[in-house]
Formats: sequence, C-alpha cells, structure tokens
Amino acid sequence: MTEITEKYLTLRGANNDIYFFQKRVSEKVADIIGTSFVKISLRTKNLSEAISTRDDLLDALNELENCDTLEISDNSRRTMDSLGISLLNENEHKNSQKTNEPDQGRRKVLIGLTAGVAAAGVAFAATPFVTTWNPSARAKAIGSAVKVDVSKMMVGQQIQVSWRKQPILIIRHSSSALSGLASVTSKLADPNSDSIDEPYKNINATRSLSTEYSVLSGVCTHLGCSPKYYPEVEPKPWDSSWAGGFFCPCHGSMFDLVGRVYKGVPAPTNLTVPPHFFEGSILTIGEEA
Amino acid sequence: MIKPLLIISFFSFLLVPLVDSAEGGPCKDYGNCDQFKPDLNNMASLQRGVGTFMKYCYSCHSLKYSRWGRVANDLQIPEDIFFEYLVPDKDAGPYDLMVAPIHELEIDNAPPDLTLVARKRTSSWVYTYLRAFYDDSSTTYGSNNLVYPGVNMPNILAPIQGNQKLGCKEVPVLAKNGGEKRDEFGNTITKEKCGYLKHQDGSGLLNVEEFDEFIYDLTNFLTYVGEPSRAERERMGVYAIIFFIIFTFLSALLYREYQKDYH
Amino acid sequence: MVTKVLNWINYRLPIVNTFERHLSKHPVPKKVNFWYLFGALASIVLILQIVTGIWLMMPYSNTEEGAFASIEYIMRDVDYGWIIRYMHTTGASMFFAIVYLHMFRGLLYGSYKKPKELVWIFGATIYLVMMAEGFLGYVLPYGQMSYWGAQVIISLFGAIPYIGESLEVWVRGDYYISGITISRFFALHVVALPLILIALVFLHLVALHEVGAGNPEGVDIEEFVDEDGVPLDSVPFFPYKVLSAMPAIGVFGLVFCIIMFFFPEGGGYFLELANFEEANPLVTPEHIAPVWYYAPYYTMLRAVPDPLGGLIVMAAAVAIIFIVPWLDRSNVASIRYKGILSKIAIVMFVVSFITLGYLGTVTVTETGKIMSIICTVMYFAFFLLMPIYTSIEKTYEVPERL
Repeated sequence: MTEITEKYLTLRGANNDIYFFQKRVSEKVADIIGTSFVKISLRTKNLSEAISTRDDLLDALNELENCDTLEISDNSRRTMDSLGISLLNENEHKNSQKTNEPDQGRRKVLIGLTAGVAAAGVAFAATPFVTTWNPSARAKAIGSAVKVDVSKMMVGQQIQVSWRKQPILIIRHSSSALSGLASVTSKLADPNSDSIDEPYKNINATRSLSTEYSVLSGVCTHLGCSPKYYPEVEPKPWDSSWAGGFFCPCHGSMFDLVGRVYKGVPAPTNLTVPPHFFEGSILTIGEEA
Repeated sequence: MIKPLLIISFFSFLLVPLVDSAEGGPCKDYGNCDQFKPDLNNMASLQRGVGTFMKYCYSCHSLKYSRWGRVANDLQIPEDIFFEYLVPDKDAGPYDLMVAPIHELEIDNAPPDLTLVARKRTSSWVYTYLRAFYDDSSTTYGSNNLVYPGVNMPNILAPIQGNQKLGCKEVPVLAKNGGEKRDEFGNTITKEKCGYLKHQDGSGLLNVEEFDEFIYDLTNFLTYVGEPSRAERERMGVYAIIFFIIFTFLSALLYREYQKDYH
Repeated sequence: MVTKVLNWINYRLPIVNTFERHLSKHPVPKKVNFWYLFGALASIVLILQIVTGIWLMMPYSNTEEGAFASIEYIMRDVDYGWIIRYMHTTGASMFFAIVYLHMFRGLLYGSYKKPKELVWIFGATIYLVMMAEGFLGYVLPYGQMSYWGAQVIISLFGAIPYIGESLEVWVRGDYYISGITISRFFALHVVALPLILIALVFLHLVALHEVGAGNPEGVDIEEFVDEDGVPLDSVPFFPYKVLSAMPAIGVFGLVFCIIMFFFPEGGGYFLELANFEEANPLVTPEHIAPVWYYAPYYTMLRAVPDPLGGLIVMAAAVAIIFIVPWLDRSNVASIRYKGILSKIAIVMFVVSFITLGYLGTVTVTETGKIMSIICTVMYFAFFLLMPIYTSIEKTYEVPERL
C-alpha cells in the first residue's frame, strides 16, 4: 500500500486505488452543505489529477467559510456540483439563520424559572445546616425539668437550683414580707410586669403559682450576672432604705423580694419567672402542669 | 469503535468467575438468610415490635443510643401510655437513654447492645437468626442457633415458638453445572442431608406463620431503632429527586437556548 | 455606585481583571462532550465536603471513648444531623467516582500532552492527597472497619525495612490505634490535608487557565484567533460553560440524592456494615475489605505475597500516573486520532482496573489471586508499554479546527 502524504487525500475503493477527499469542516460550512465531515470520491486514480481537484474543492470550501450570502464563484459552484455536493438553497439558509436569533423573552422566562427553582433548592439544602445548631436531644435531656421538694425550706430562706445549667432562685416568703411588697411599689420600674412576657401574671403576689414561694430565674436582665439575696430590711451601701430583695454585684441592679426591678438601675426589666408547677410540696421547674 | 468497547469494559468485573465464592453465607449453617423487607410506616407492626422487645429482650439487651421519648413519638404511642405500660424504670424521662438495668452494672461479657444490630448484621440476618434456634442439649442453655452456631444465649422465645429440632430431609443432588441430577428415567436423584430445622407443630403459643409475623414485627422495630430517621429520610428523598428532575429539565432548556448562540 | 467601588478596589487589587480572566470571559472550547463536565462536578463536591465536614466537626468527638458514640449522636440526637453525615459519606464516594472519571477523560483525550504536563501533575497530586484524606476520614468513626482498616494500612509502614516498626508506633503514637491516633488523624483530616487540597486545586486551575482547556479532538484552539486574540472556536466561560454545567449538576444531584436518601450504605460499599460496631482491638471482623475507591490498589497489595513488595507495587501504581505525560510519545492527543494499539491498550486498562477494584472487595480465592496478578500486570503494561505502542502505531490526521 502506498503511503499518501498529501493533505486530506486518501486511497479507498475495492482495490485501494481511488483517491478520496476527507476533511472535517467548520460548523458554518457544515450547515450549508449538510455534513460536518466531507468524504467524497474524487473519481480518479491519478495523483496529480486528485491534487488539482482537491485544491479546487478546498478553495470552494474556503469561499463558503468566508462568505455571508452564499454567493460563491461559478468556478467553485461547478466544482461542488461535479462532486455532488449540494448547497442548501439560500432561503433555507436564511431561515435557519433567523431561527438562530436569540429569543430574549424565552430566555428571561427560563432564567427566572431556573433561578427560582435553584434558590428554593438552596433554601431547602440550607435547612439541615441551620437546624443542626439547635439543642440536640442530649442537650434537651440535660435541660429537662428538675424537681425540688420545697417543704423543708424555712420561712425567709432562699435556695438555688440549676435548670439548663442556669441558677433558679426559690424563696419562701414570710407573710409580713409579702404584705410589705406594696411599700416599695413606688420605687419600682414595672411593678405589674407589663413590659415582659409574665407567665403567671396577676395570680399571686409571689409572681409564681404558689402563694408562699417565688420561683425566679437568677440571671440579671442587664448582662447576665446572678443577683444576690439580701432579705434584711436595713440600710445597705447601695440603698439607705433597703426593704429586702436582690442586689446584683456586677453593675448594682436592684430587685425587690419577688424579683421586680427598681427604677434607675442598669437592669431594664424584672427577673423572669421560669415555667413551673407545684404538686403538693414538689416543685417542678421547666415544665407546665 | 472505541465507545462500545469502553462501555463493555466498564462492566468487565462481571467476567470474574464467581464459582468459588466464600463458604457458607452470612447466615452460616442456615445458608442464605431469609429476605426481610422492613415496613417502617406500619406503626402497628412497630408498636407490637417494641412491645415484644420490652417484654422479652430488654431484661438483657439495651438500646443505649436510643431515647424513650423519641421511640414513643416516632411510633405514635402516647407518652403516658408508653411510660406506664412499656418502660419498666418509673424514673425514666422521655430524654433518657434506653439502657437496660443489666448494663448499668459494670460486668464482663454483658449481653450486647442491640441498637445497631440490624445495621451491622442486616435486618434479614436478625429475622433469620431469631427463627433459627433449636434444641441442643450439649450447650449450656440447652439451645443452639443455625445462624450463629454456639451462640451463648438462652432461647428466650421457646415457649412462644415451641420446640424446634434439627432434622434431615431429601434434597436433590446437584450436577456440576448447577442443575439437578436425574437418573435414566428422568427422576431427580436425591440424597439425605441433615441440619434442617424441624418444628414440632402445636408445641408453642403461636403456629409457624404467627411466629414468623411475631418476629417480623420485632425485626421491623430493630430496623427502625438502628436508624430512626430512615422513614423520614426516604420521604424526603422523594422530594429531593423531584426537585432535581425539575431543575435538570429547566436548566437543560436554558442550556439549549443559549447553545443557539454558537451553534 | 457599584462600578465606582469596584473600580476603586480593582485599582488596588485586580479582582475584576482576575474574575474576567479566569471566570467570566475565560475562553473555553465550544465543542466538548460530557467527559469534560467532571471537573466542574469535582469542584462542587469538594465544596460540599468542606461545608458538611465543618458541620460534622461540631458534634463529633475525637476521643477513643466518644468517637463512635458521637457518630450515633449525630445520626439520632442532632436535628437533621443524619442528612449532614450522609451527605459527607455519599460525597466521599461520589468525589472519588467523579475524580476517576475525570482522570480517565485525561487519559482518553491526552489532557497531559504538552503544555499541560503540570496540570496533570497537580491533578495526580490531588488524587494522592484525596486518598490520604479519605483514609483518615474513614478512621474517625472508630468502628470495627475503621480500626482494622487503619491497622492494615498502618502496618504497611511496618513493611519498610529497618525503620518500619518504630515508624508504625510513631504514626499511631501508641501501641494500638487509640485516642491519640484518632485525634491526630482528626487534625490532619479536617485542617492539614484540606488546606493542601485547596492549594493544589487552585494551582491545578491556574495552570489549566494558563495553557487553556482541552477538547476531545485534541485540537489547539489557540491557533485560530480573532483580532482580540480570542480563539475562534471558543465561547466565554460565562454564561455558556456555566449553563452547560447546570444540567450536569442536576443529573449529578439526582444520582447523589438517590444514593443518599435511599442507599446511603451503598450495599456496604460506601458505608461498610462492620463499621456499625464500635472498634474492638481484640476482635477482627470476618471480612476486611477496603472502601471501593481503594479496592484496585488493595488487590495489587494482596497480589504480591511479600508485604514490602506489595507496598512497592501499590506505591508504583499510583506513582506511575505522574509520569504519563512523558510516557505518551504519540503525535496526537486524542484517542480519536490515535491508532488501534492505543485503543486496545485503553480498553485493556479499563478492564484490568475495574476487575482489580472488584477483586479488592471480595474474599480472596484461588481464581481471584490469579486474576489479580494478571490484572496487575495489565495495569502496569498499559503505562510501561505506552512509549512503544504510541510511537509505532499509525495515527490519523487531526482536523485544524473544532
């Protein structure tokens, strides 16, 4: 078999002696002639004849490549015709060009739809990344309700229990202390707990579900320190007419015996009351009945 | 030419002869495990399963990664009923772990925790194992198991299942090509093979079908507890798939629209 | 206003120029096939792995007592923790699947041919780091397969003469794979190797953008450019390549979700069943198999009776990938225009690699042993004979343009 070094020429046919032209053409030319790979018999066994036909054909293809109107020279058209390469007619070509005009309206609709669907997908995919930051079942186990027997508390005593790793203050008031609460009302910022979400509002003077015990979150509403219990009615460095209550060592906020905040202190609101209920002397903190 | 060849070659591992694959199967002397298809949306089955577990298994086996409240909630059992009838420890709260009293003591060779048994062994294994106990006077507990020969565990469900013994039966002799061997009259040649389970009818509380269903529920529950989010996972998967089908369709349309610019 | 701010920044830090050069206006060949989509998919999975990895780090506990339980904690107690974990485990397998296809594309279409040698070498290094990353990650749950898989791999160091045994102890930091091993593997898995991986991906992309992306024809599109120097057969990256990647992302997401939501264990190939039991240094599982993506190399290791020999063969099998650019002597890049010998060779290579992978996941048998030796030889023959068959075969004429 003879090696052919000429570009785009190859030997084919039953005896491998007929010259063929093989060339991949550009997209544009492919559209015009209907194929992207020209493989055509040059119908000759003579090399020089094949070369000259090839050159004609290459010229013709080049012309097609470089023209916009499909007006190519007669010479080229003849070459194409003789080899049986038919051009799609001009109208057809123009039509196909027309449909290639981008349809901006359709694009906008599709972009909107796809972006909308993608955004919804991202939102859904983001959900687990957000929810995994919630307290886990283990955290909830550690933070579940605590039970305290309050019957052993002495009158006037305050104890502290831990619920969700936060101090909860329980105070057993004497009846005189409770009746004395009215005397400080004028010094309080919010005596009726109107500015906070008070869970057991206007039920008892203790602010809890019991007539005797107060249940308060021991976290100062200012910056989270734990206020200390000073039940004595006596002059204190922070208040010469102290009537008993809570004093926060961090920034000097003052609260009365049931955790209501004084006027003119850093803390903005009363101490909060955690959810709780009593079953006899058993106090459950962290759960509603 | 290269394309079909490449595609074929990607499946070339199928050419590897499988004749001498591993001895036995995952179910050991039993052969292949009986297939188990869980139904995690069948609440009645799961509720019966947890009941069986608490009654017969929990005295020795914990589910130490699982929490009471989650099980009650997932199985749609009201918490007060669940804690009253199913939870033996009266101090247990919904967030407490299902640790059996035996595991709170530090003892050697404690019975294994079963939270992940269905994931580690597969549900089919558990289903087969629980039905493959037989009487064997040579062991400590007087019973043995085909799926787990030499298992160190009493057959706790024996009164329910009844007596099961090893027996023999006639099985067809297999030719080298895997087909049944036949004699010159075309009858299948058989030989006696032993090591099959033989159930003594009427010896237990339940008959064979009822016992299979009983174990089905228990295995279903163990499958649930191995991965409690599985039912939800499969529910969410459907939506995720629908989403990606829509997304692929729309983006393919958009791609084709823009492809016109350069084609 | 926005333009003003951008101009102000761009004057000091060329973000706009860089963005245009490497993303929005970066010219890419206009006609490529689906094999060219895996690069984009790989970068998406890398991001997914990093994000889910960060989220998994938060509830994970890197202690001997707590590691296994913390996985179950993620699966049960953490709100939707199971989704994050399954994304990560499915992502790991998908990452390898994509990277294998991406590398195979390189072999098919000669993506390592001059001047892309460095792109290939960075890519091969990424693959190597990924294998280490995957291994370290697999140890973290501290299940039975984590423990015994790590035991086998670390024992490979023991095969090195003289220093082997002390090296083993040094890697573990203990006489068995203990808490200290887990916590150092954890540090490597979540910080050290991801940093290296990101740096390598950056270099891989910068080198690629310097020499231009390839195409299945193996045509150099830079030979025909317009007045502005933009290749005629190219389209800008944005929006065209982004749009072509989107349906691929959709199909990939579909496959990913089918696995993640319905077959997260992948039949025991993605999450091995033995790993649902806490590590027990005293009991070896009945059947130790590597995860599927290491299986071909594991088979090579087993094919050689001597551990040191096995280690060398395994290392050589990965190392040989690095020198492919100098093994291929063909004057064409794409398999489309290469001769019949290259085509036979690549089919043989695929057959051997996949068979090796399959054999690595099953129990050793006599036939399997012989098959694994044959396939190991075939694997190496593909590379080592490449200089011969690529230079003697007759290649086909490459078109001038796409």
